[in-house]
Order: sequence, then C-alpha cells, then structure tokens
Amino acid sequence: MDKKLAVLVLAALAVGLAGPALAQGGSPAPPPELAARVSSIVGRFPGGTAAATAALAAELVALGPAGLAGTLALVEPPGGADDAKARFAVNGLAVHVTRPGAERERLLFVKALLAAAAASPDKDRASFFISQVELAGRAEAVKPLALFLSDGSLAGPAARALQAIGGPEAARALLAALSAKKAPAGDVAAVVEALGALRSREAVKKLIPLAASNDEGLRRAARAALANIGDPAATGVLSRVLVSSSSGERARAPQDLLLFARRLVESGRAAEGLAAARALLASHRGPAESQVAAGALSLLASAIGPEALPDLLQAACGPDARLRGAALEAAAGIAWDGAALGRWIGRAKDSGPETRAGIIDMVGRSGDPAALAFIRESLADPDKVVRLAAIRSSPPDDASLLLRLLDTADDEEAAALRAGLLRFEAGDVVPAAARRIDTTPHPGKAVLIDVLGEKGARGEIERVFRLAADPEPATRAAALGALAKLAGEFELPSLVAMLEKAVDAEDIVRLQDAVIAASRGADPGRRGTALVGLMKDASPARKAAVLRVLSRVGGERALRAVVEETAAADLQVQAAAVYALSQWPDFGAAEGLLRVAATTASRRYRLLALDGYVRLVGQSGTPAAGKLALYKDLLGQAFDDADKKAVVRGLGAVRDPGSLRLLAGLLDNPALGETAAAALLDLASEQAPHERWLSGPEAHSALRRVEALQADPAEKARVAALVADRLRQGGFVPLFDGRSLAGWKGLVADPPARARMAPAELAAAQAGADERMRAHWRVADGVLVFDGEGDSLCTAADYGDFELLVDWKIEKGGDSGLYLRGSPQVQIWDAEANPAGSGGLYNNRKGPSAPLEKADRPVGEWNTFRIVMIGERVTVFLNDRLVVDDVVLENYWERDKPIYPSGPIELQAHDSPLYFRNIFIREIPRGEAAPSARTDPAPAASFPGIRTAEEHSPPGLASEGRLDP
Amino acid sequence: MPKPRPLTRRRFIRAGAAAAASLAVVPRRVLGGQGHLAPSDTLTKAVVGVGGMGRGHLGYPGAVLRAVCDVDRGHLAAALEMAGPGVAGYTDFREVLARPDIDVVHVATPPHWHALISIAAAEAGKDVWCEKPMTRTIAEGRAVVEAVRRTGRVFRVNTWFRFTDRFYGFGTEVRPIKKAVENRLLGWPVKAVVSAATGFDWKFFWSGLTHARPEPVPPELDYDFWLGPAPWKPYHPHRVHGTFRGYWDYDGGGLGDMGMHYLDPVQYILEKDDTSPVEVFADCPQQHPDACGSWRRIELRYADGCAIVLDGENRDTRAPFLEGPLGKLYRGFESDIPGLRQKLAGLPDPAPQLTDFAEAVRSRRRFALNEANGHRSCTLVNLAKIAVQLGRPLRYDPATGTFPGDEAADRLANQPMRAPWRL
Repeated sequence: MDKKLAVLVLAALAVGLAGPALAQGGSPAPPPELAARVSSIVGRFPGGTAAATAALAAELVALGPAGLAGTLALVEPPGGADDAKARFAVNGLAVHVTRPGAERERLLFVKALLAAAAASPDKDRASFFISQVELAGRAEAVKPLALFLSDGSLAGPAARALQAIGGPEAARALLAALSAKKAPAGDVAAVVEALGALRSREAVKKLIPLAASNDEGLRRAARAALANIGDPAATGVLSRVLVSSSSGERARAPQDLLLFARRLVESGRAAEGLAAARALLASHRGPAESQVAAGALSLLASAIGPEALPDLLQAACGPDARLRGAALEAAAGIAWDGAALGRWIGRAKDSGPETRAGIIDMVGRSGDPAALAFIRESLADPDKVVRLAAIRSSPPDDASLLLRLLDTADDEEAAALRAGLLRFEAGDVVPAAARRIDTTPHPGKAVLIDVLGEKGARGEIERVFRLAADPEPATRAAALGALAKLAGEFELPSLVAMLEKAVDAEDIVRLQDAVIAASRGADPGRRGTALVGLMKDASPARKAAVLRVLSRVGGERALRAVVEETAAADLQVQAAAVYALSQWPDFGAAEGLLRVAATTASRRYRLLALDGYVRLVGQSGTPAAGKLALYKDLLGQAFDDADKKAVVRGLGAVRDPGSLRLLAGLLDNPALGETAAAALLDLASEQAPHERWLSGPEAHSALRRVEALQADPAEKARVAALVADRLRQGGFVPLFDGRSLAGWKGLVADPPARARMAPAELAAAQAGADERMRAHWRVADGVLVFDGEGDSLCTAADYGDFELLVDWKIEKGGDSGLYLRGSPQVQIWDAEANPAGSGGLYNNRKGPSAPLEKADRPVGEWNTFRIVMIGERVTVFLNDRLVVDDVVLENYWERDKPIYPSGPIELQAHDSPLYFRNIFIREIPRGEAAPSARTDPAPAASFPGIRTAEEHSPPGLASEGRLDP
Repeated sequence: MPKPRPLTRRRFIRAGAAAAASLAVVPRRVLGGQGHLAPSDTLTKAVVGVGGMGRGHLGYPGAVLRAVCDVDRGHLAAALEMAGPGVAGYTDFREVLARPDIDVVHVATPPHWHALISIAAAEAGKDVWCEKPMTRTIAEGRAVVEAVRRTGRVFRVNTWFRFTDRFYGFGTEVRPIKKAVENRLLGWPVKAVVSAATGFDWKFFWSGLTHARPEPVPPELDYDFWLGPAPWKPYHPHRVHGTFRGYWDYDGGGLGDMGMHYLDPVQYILEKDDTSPVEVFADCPQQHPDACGSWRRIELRYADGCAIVLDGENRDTRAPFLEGPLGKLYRGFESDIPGLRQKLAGLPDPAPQLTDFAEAVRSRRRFALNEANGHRSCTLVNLAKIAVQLGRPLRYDPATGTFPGDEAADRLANQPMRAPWRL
C-alpha cells in the first residue's frame, strides 16, 4: 500500500471519521444546503472586531462537525483559488475554541483539523491544518499527530505540534516514532529535537546511540537533546566528541556540556554538575574560549553563590578581559557579606588597573559602607581607568569630592565628572561649582559653567553673561550654552544686542540658540512678541539678526513681522525675511509665501517661496485631494519651468490617484518630464494595501513610460522591478521569468482534439511539442523570441477569468495573435498592411471582429495589450486605447458551443518572427467581477481596519481604475 | 553512576575505529585563533544579513568590517561592493562565527533569525549588535538573555532613543522626560500614550498578502536557509526581503518595525526594565494566520498601575504622552505643570548610561540597552503581537514568562522551530 494512503486511512480511523464521499481535498462533502450555509458564513470573515469574529466562529461551531469540516474544505492548496477568507475562518475558529471554558468546541474543531490534514492530498494544505493543531490541540491530538511523523513533509510540522502540546503522552508518541522506523535523517532530527525540548527521560536510551550517528545534523540534535534532558546516563557521550566531527560541532560540545551540568544541578545532582563545570573551567583557559569558562563560572555562581568566591576571584583577576568581565558580571548577582567584600577589595588593591576598575564597578552596586570607602579612596587613584570607575560608582552625597577632580581632569574624566555632578540637586552643587569657575582650568571650567546651566542656576546669570564675553573661546562656548538654558524674555535685549555684534560663526550659532530658547519660554500665545518688539525702529543689522531666528521661534506675532519685512526696503532685511518665511514651521506662512512668489521680481526669492510653500502643503494635514488642488493651481499659474519643478516634486508625495494622473500627463513635457518621472517613482516606491490604484492600469502605463525614459540600463531594470512589485501587489504574477521558458509548453493540436487523446498519447505528443518549442522559442535579453518557424507557445497552466498584460513586437509583414482559453484570438498583425489595426477578436462571426480603432505603434516598436476576460466576454486595450469593448469571444473550434470555461493562453506562431516580454496575469475569482470588465479595479490584498483610499481622496478618483478614453 | 570523566586536553584515539573514536572536548585555542581582545582601535566585526538594513551596518563606527554574510547572493555581492577590499563574503553565518579574528557580530537578518544567530555568536565568543525587534517571540528573548549571560558577552539592540537623539516626533530627547518621571513630578503611577498625537505614528503598510500564487525561487536566493527556523511555506517574493515584516512567521507588521524604537524608551521612563506588563488588551480586526494586518488600540498594564497605550488610529488627538496623578506631559514637552522646566532643572539627573558600544566591548561593561532590558522592551512588542493575533485580553506573568490560563497564548510565545534549528 502506498504510504500516503496508509496515513490517510489510519488517521481517519483514529479520529473516528469515515465519510464515504470525499470532496475536493479529500474532505467529506457536506450536504449542499450546509455547504451554502458554511460558505455564506465564511464569506463574512474576517471579523472587524474580536466580538464579530467570535460571533462568526460561533455560527460555524453551531453547524457541528459537518460545518467545521465544510469550513476546512474551503481551504485551497497554495496557488489555488483565493482562500483568504477560509484561512481567516479556520484561524478564527482556532482562536475562538482556545478561549477558556470551550473544551467541547475545541475538541470538535481539533478533530476536524486532524481529519482534514489526514485527508488532504496536498501537503502544504495539510501542514496549514497541523499548524492550527499546534495552536489548539491537546492530548486528543497526540495519537493522530503521531501518524504524520512517518510522512516526509509532515513529520516536521507534526513534531512541532507535539512539542507544543507537550506532556508525557506526546513524548511517548515521539519516542515510538523514533523507535519504529527508518526515516530520512531530517525527520528524525525533528523528532529528536522535540524529545529534547520535552525533556523526555524515557528517550535517553534511544538518543545516546544517535549521538554517535554518522549524520552530523542528527548527532548534534541528539547531543543537544541529551544535554537538555540532563540524565546522568548521557555523561559519557556528552563528555566526548568524535574525531570526525566538524569544527562547529566541536565548538558546540562544551556548550552542550554546560547545559547538561546545569540540568544536573537543577535535578539535585549538584556535585556531578559542579564537577563538570569546574572541569570545563580548568580546561578552557585560553582567551578564545572564555565563553565556555564564563558559562562554568555563571553556573557555579548561581548554584553555590558566595561559595564560588575563590573561582570568581581567580577569574576576575586573570589576564583575559572577557573572562574578567564575565566573572564580575556573575559576581554582581551575588549578595556578598562584609568579609567577602573585604576580600574583593583587598584583591583589587593588589591587581592591575583594569581589574581594580572592574571590582569597583562590581562592589559599587552593593551600596556597602566598606565598598563606598574604597570607592572614595579610588577617586585619587593614579590610574585614570580606576578613577573613572570610582567617579561613576560614587553616590551623589558629596559634590566637593568630584569638583576637586575637575582641576586636573582631561576631556574624558571631565565628561564623567559632569555626569556625576548632574546627579546632585541644584542646591548641593551650584554654589560650590560657581565658586570654583574662575580657578578651574579647561575642560573642567566648561563643565562647571555647564552645570550652572543644566541646574537652572538663574541666580548666577550675571556671572554667566560675563563669561560669555570671555576672550577664551571654550569659556564663551560653555557660557553661551548655559545662557540658552538659563535666559528668559528678560534677557532677550542683552542677547539680541550680543547677536547683532557677534562675528565669530560659532558664537552666532550659539547666540541664536540662546535667543530662540529664551523666546520659547513664553506662553505660546505671546511667543515671539518680545523678540519682535526688539525690531521696532532697530537698525537693519539688528532686524536681520532677529529675522534669522524668527522661523525657529514661530508664533503669530512673529509671522506677521516676517511677512511685513518681506517688503522691506533694505535688501539685507528683505532677504532675511523671505528666507525666514520660506523656513516657517507651520501652514500659517502659506499665504505670505504665495504672495511673495506671485509678486517678487527676484528669481531666487520666487524659488525659495515656492519651495517653502510646497513643503508646507506637503506636511499639512490637508487631505490628499486638497493638496492636489493647491498644487494643480500652482502649475496653472504663470511661473517658469524651474519654479514648477518644485511643485512637481511635491506631487510625488501626494498619495492620490489624481497626482499620479497629473504627473503622467507631464511625462512628455520637455522641461518637467524628468522631474515628473522622478516624482512618479517616489509615489510608486511603496504601496499600502489600500492603494490599489498603484497596481491599476494608469499607474502601470505611467510607470512603463518612465521605464522607457531611462537611459541607464541599471535604472531601467530598477524601474522594471518596481513595476513588477506594484503588479504583484495588485495580484498579478509574471508568466515569463525573463530567463527561461519555465511555465510554458509546446502546442499539441487543438482543445477538442486534445480532449479526445488518451493520457499516454497526449503525454507523448506533449513531449514532442515541447521539443519543437525549444527549437524555435528562446529567451534573449529578457525577451521571448520566436524564430518564425515552429508552433505556438502555450502557458503550462489553464486560466479562466483573468486580466493579462503583455508587450509584443513584430517585424514588417508580421502576423500573430493571442489565443485565450486555447481559442483564437486577439489579432496581432502589421497595421500598415491591415489598416484596421491589431487587437480585434479576429475569428468572431456574430459579434464584432475588428478593433474599435487602430492603436498600433509602427512595426518594430513595442506594443502593450491589456486583456480582460470574464465569462465569455473580452475587453482589450492596445497601448492604453480601448479597442475591444466587452465582446463575447466565439468558440472557433466548436462553433455551436460557447467559449470554453478555461484553457491555456497561447502566443500564436504564424510564420513570422515575434517578440514578447513583460507578461503578467491576474486571475479573477469567478463571481467576483462586475458584469463589465472595463471598470474592474485591480484588487489588492485588503485588510479591514485600514483606512481606505476613499477616506484619503474624493470617491470619484480613488475607486476608479479605468483609463480615460 | 560513574563520576563525570575528567576532561583532559590529550587526544586519545582508539586505533582502528576512526568512526567511533572520540576525543575529549578540545579547547578552541588548540583549533587555532589568537583570541586576545583587540586593542581599542582595531575591534573587528562581521555583518550577518546584508539586505537594505544590514548594508546600513557596514559603516557603523567602532569596529573594522571583516566579513559579510547573506543567503541571497545578490545582497552579498552588493554588500561586498560597498565594503571594498579586505572583506570576505559568506552565505552561511556559521562560517563567519568560526573565524577567530572577529570580535563583534551584527545581526541584521529578518527577526526570525535574530535569536539563533545571536545565541550562536555568543557561544562562539562574539559580542553581538542585534537589529530590532530583538527576537520574534518571548521564549527566544529569554534564550538570548540566558546565552549572553552564560557566555559573558556584551550585547546591544539597534535602537538608541533611550540614550540619544530626539525621541521620534516627541520633540525632545528622552533624558528630560525620564528626569521628570524619576523625580515624580507627574506623580505615580504613570500612563503613556504612544500615538501620532504624541509623536509616534504607527505604520500599517507592513501588511502581508493573504493570497499569493507561489513563484519559483530566484536562483540567487537560498530560500530554505532564509526560512531557517520558520515553517516551510511556498516561495513568493513578497514573503522575503523588503516586505517580510508583513508575515507573522518572520516579524509582526508595524509593531515589529517600530515597536522597539517607540516602546523601549517608554519602558525606561516608566522604570520597567526589570519587569513586564501583567495585562494586555488589543482592539483590532481579526488577523490572518499568515499575514499581519492592522490594529486600532493596544493597552499594556503593569502590576503597579503604570500603563502603555498604543493608539493606532490616533483617536485621541489631544492625548498627553505621559499622564500621572500630578500632571501631564504632552508632545514637545508641553505640560499642565506650571514652570516644569525650571522645576526640573534643579533636580538630580538620571543615572548616566554606557552608550558607546565599542567602549562596552572593551571594558566588558553592560551597554545601556542590553540583552536584559532589550528583552523586556521586545516583550512589549511580542505581547502586543499575541494580543492582536488572539484578539482577547491576556494576563501575563512577568516572572515565568507565561500566560496563566491561556495555553494558546503560551504557544504563540514559545513556538517550536523547524529542524535542524532549535533554541
């Protein structure tokens, strides 16, 4: 008996389910009324809220086992029809039945999952069901899951589910699988891994021989499992590694042993565990193995605490920095008594500076008085590393100790002292710091000044102003920094006076910061008022100095002043005002900027104003449609092209189909085309799930035009990849990989003839056809090329309703076509010889067979078809022009019948060389589409709860995917 | 039972039985490698995972790049080109870890690999600089903490707002916020709201596809290795590289992306570096089992009454970032406490932190954001993910890392890995 079948039958028996009728996927087919009921409930998934989901799940549960089985039957294998709702429903059930107090429901559902998994011929589908058992299953699932352990592709998922369920029963089931059979090593490793995770002592006997297996993966899995189980019987095997083992395995061995030792200690075999740890510590003294010694130390420290003192002391004072650090880290977790701390401190005094510093850090955490005395003493240590440790370990109780050190501190020590001093309350540090400023040299002096600022020492502000005029730049810098923290509106006149006169570039920046900080202190309503007051009757130099900071102060009063000064007579003042306005932080400046743009004679001002305006619109909370209208308005005005570029760039950030349309319309503009292309790429560089329009026809057409505009092949490829991403997000998949004929096959006869062939006959014919295909169809530079001599090329898969994108090119006199569902045809021919043009349903007798217009590009250039087929009806766009409008495709092969429900897509060979590329298809689930194909928007994965496009833009724009004729 | 065999360094090989022969655990020094801690200016590093995020790590200061590693040969080639001469490329991180001349390993793979590579690196004696989110599950986080402690290594997570930079859209650094809370100017307990209103916009474009037709694996990608510990699923380009965050198997949507950036400082401010919330609640639409979706609101409450609210819809546009019984602190450090800045200045500053990773490596001291507090802040992210996936209120025990009475939640917190990978 076939193995798969064995699993299927056994599993069905095990869960007590044996339905005679097997539907698709092998599940028992529910009666039609029930199926309809299930499908209507599933159709309402996903729930918008937890309560809604629970209600839907409860409806399904209420339908009983048959309802649950019916739900599971709706799950498709990957690549099948869109089963997102079914998967939502299944997972919704799994979540619902695992709520507390739903044991009976849980049991029913898990049974259904196991039966469906067992009956599913598709392993990915079965694996999905098992993953839900991993979430919801308990004891009842153990035996049925065990049956999958011998199935190559399901052993892993089943072992994981058993591991998640846990308990002795699951471990026994796993162990039985280990004993029972000879499976590929990979599956055994999964079982071994689960046994290890479940710490099954019963498994130890079986695992020990596997730890010497010839398969490295299995050997390593067994060693890890034995280590985690921690049974003493594994001591021997874990203490050795095979000579033939890999370096990775040998590096891993001591880590397994460490875990094993820890498990021994945990299970009351402390002596053995600690002996193993000490042995590892003794045998791993080299600098490249400190991670092992560290593990041994950490085990000792956690197991015996203070008694590990000798081991820790030795390691903490050794030559290896990493092991020292590890020992001190382990020591920090132990509550040392006074005597032990004394030994640490004693040893510190006898050790080198790094060790001393490390011990200070460690004992500093204890807060013990003896430790504090040692830390205080170490502040005067001759070695800086030690002093730094002492500084950071000092509690904030006596600032004078730290202040003294500033006299001799270098930059690093000064920074540490600064951090230490800021830990004090202002009253405990400010007076002493202020007293020492004049006598302390840099960098200590700067720290003291900074401390005054940080601690808000307003009482010392006179002193700080004095220092801000010091000839020494470092002193000035520190003092100006402190003023930014201390100064308020009261000090603004002084600050502005200084700013006006300052010449040093760094001073100016610091003074500006101080002015801004001093102005910001005011309440928001009056913000900027005092500063603007200082401009009254002031010199141009002072006005300009104030204007340069106003945009960073903000406020209505400040804005009014800036707008006013954009008309100033003095050029210096006017320039500062325009610049300030262009940098304004909020939308209030928009009107002023527009006015400057419209009225100024200066090109530079106009550009500044427009850039500023576009930025403000972009960052405003205006809805996308509103932004679009504002930008459109600007483009309509009489600015020159250089100015308009700023607007075009702004459009790239407006996530709305309207801006896509506007930018696409600018692509052919000689001055703005390049900027528009860049903006389009910005727009399309990412796509939120609700932004379906980025996968739609307009976006596709625009992006392909951008692609064609790129001269650099690498850029062209980047754009092509972006187009493919957008299409994928819209549900399209590539039919042609650009590299090979994968996914294609040769043509065998016609659909009625193929239907009459016996399987073997068809297979033989197909093999021959494939060989002919390879002789005449090839791939060159990402293009599918036909040499003009063989047969048509067919997709390997059949398609029903779909949207197809394909680029094609012919030579003079060339002839081809696209067969849909294996039937002719959407016509391709040389439009010079056939003035009607390409795209018509050439073989129609009753309905129209000619295209609505000729939309062909000259022979030798690329053309693009977008073909939508739903039911019997076909719509064709050629180069974005509608050429076939929802016309029934007649059955050429059997004239009395309607077109077949599905079939391959074929690229027709007709005795002339042909070129195809960029072939993408989106399958349209039956029944989803509206009767007219033309207005069908490309659906993307959509999620409830995400803001929809409609909320971002007016309805007419967002929901419409069709092209303007 | 016999006493454990003493471990000696002498090889003993039983003649004529090569396959069964064994040798005592050999110290790595014998296998080669210098191993001395490099002098201060020559710390060396390797970057594992050199997609967009990892290539950003190549130039991080503090260590000299020696090796890059990726399971996608395209990524590897791009990284090698960026890195210049003297840098070796690998497709298996284990080969990188076997190199004795590398001090620090940067882990910039997708999150489902973070724990395994971090642990393996620590066990190989390397210090670790790990991308956020630190781990994909709570159990993985606990394992990383244990491994870093056991091996005595230095570890950091690649987020930094608790000690430097303006805290996203809040408008100031974290330090004055921490100072205000630590000095109890807002009172206690404190509630934090993390939303657009307080400066933290949640990104919801990290959503997976709920239905994608499998595609052939591109030849440059070792997809099986890319999946590693994650369950096997058919390949689709949206599962990997720039879009993996949309899938539960590898990350957790916008929570995984921004969660640690936003929440780690909040945890520090609320003085919760040693503990985790005891209750979690999520208001969200139902989640797909494979693809992450959006959520509206998540609340995490601590035992002492402190709470963190994640407002994904920005429903309360006037929400304070922090609120305590004595006052509120809004975005931009606005407050209803009169003269807050002045009051604050005179008070003691928070304790200094060690914020230079190279210095932490050299001095063997814990980095400001290390395995322990990093695990706690990543637990906030992982708790939120579980609450979103289950859609029901959860109780959590910070000491044991379990959800009393909710086995399904426990299973999401501790997911078995695909063999041969294991914690």
